[in-house]
Amino acid sequence: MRIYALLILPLPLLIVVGYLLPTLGVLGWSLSLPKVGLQNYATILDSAAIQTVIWRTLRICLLTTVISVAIAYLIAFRWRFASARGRLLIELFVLLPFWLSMLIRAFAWLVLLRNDGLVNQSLMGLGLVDEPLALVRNELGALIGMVHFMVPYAVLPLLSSMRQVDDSLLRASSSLGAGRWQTLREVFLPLTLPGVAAASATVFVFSLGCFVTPALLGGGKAAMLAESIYIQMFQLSNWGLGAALSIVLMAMVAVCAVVFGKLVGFGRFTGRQA
Amino acid sequence: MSVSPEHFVDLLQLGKSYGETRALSDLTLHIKRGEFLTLLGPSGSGKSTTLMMLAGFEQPSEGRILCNGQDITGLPADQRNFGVVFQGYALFPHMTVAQNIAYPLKVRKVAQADINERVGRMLERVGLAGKGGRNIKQLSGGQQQRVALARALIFEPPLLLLDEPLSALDRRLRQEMQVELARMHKEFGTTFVFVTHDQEEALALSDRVAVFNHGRLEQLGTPQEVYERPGSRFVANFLGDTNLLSVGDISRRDDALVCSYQSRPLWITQGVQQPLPAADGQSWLAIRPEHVDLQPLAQAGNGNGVVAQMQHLTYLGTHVNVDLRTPDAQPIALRIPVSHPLLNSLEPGQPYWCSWSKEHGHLLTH
Repeated sequence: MRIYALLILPLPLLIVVGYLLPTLGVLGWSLSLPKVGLQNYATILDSAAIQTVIWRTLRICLLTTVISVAIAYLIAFRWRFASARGRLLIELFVLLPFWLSMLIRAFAWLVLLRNDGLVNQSLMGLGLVDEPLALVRNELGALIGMVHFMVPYAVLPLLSSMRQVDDSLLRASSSLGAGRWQTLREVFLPLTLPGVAAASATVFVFSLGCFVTPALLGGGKAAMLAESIYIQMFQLSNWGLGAALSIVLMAMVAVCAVVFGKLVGFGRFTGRQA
Repeated sequence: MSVSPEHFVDLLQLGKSYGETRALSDLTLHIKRGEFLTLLGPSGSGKSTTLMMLAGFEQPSEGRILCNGQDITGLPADQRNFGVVFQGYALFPHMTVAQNIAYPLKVRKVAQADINERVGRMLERVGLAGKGGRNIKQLSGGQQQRVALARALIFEPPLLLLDEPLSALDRRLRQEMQVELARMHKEFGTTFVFVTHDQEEALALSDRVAVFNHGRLEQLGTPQEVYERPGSRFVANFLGDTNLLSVGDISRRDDALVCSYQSRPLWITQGVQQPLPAADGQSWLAIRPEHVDLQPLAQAGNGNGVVAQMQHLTYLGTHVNVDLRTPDAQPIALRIPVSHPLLNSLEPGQPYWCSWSKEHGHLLTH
């Protein structure tokens, strides 16, 4: 028996070598570069520029989460009450973006949203606006790209929670005198809230670490934490501050995970019922 | 508009198809106010489809449903004001016992003080006093059943639809809940329409039983009528065990019918008024196992009966089932008391005289 336990060894080994040691290394840098001490963390607390980035990160991530989960809820809802064919079609369109590179998707949005892009051309052609709207290379652009990226991640946990709401519960509600909206509000929504929580947590945590999409679509005007870390490390060669920011980002993710876990149970993360 | 008790809910030429599949054909059924009506049949017989259309969850492909003379065929379920008890109870898992029971009152915007009082009273009536704050998952199957009943009855619906509500319970609890259901039907005075595939349940509970088969209503009557005077071989077999003998040469003699089985005359005094079956059609004589007596071969020819070879004996405590076979390999089952004088001398392979009185044979033509 004991010998088989060794077979699981590659997994903890990978975690230790691939994540734990590098993370400890980054923590070390943040406390030792350019010199030993807490000065990097002091800089984070003092610098208005860095705090702006952190708040912007939280704001964009929060907006991304709310908008993506709302859109995903509608998609999942449509899926829940679709025919077998309809379900397949919706699943296909939800999964399709997963097969496209994040980079290609960001560039596609750039083409669509820039000043002489399809969207602005159409709006001006229709006479709805006189000059192109600033849809990209700002926070709005970053938000649009991130929402598009996150919706499929939000749809999946919602599908699973909606599937678990039995038809007989909805029928029971209507037999007891509740109309469509009442049934939706009193039965369907409360029973799918755990799915909403799981989707929100997934999207928020993913968004915090987003790099490519906001970097390309934000055009430098909407730098988020991940982009700042890159700039500190690879453009300003300020490895200590970059490392300290990384630790802050990791702490934010950890706090989200713990809060979510306390709220609806850690089992939701792995797809088990809490 | 007619509001006589005979015409509380009328199902008129109701039919339902799912694509190519025919689930129900030409059902006309009048539900009387206050009765306990059971829709009985095997799975796929159309009984559940009928219930779903009554509840408003399914739309009939043809036909109409009237309630107090008014057409409710297209009325959505939430406006029908019928209570429904579901097979798996369908209790709301995110609500407590009291919140579940209060739900129909809440959606009807009843005042909170009124709701609390009515829910409290209902909890007492179904034997769940003091358990209002419980979580649904903390309840046993029988308790969940009571909550489902309480929830469906609290808004005082004129009609309660029950979709195999006892099928998830074990045998003992099922019998307990049968008594409970009968009590609640009497106490609340609500009309019950109950769907089941369990014939014992149907016979024990109902004022009337509607037997379904292959999407059609086969027979409608009191439990006694459908059991003692089944209208078809299907009904005879589905409601308990039946011996069926293929008979011919049916003729009328005075107050009785005579038919022949293996060129031996058999007398029938039940259903004598009915027209004689067509000479070219097939006919069967149906006799319940409990009406057949077992006698030594020496008695052969004494009254109505057939000679059959003993095959197998099953001891069941309260009685003994005996399986026999006629010379033309027709199985005969009978049920004798454990005190039967022949019981200890029965030998497999030996012929015996199986007889029944004239009023217990029943002629079937389909």
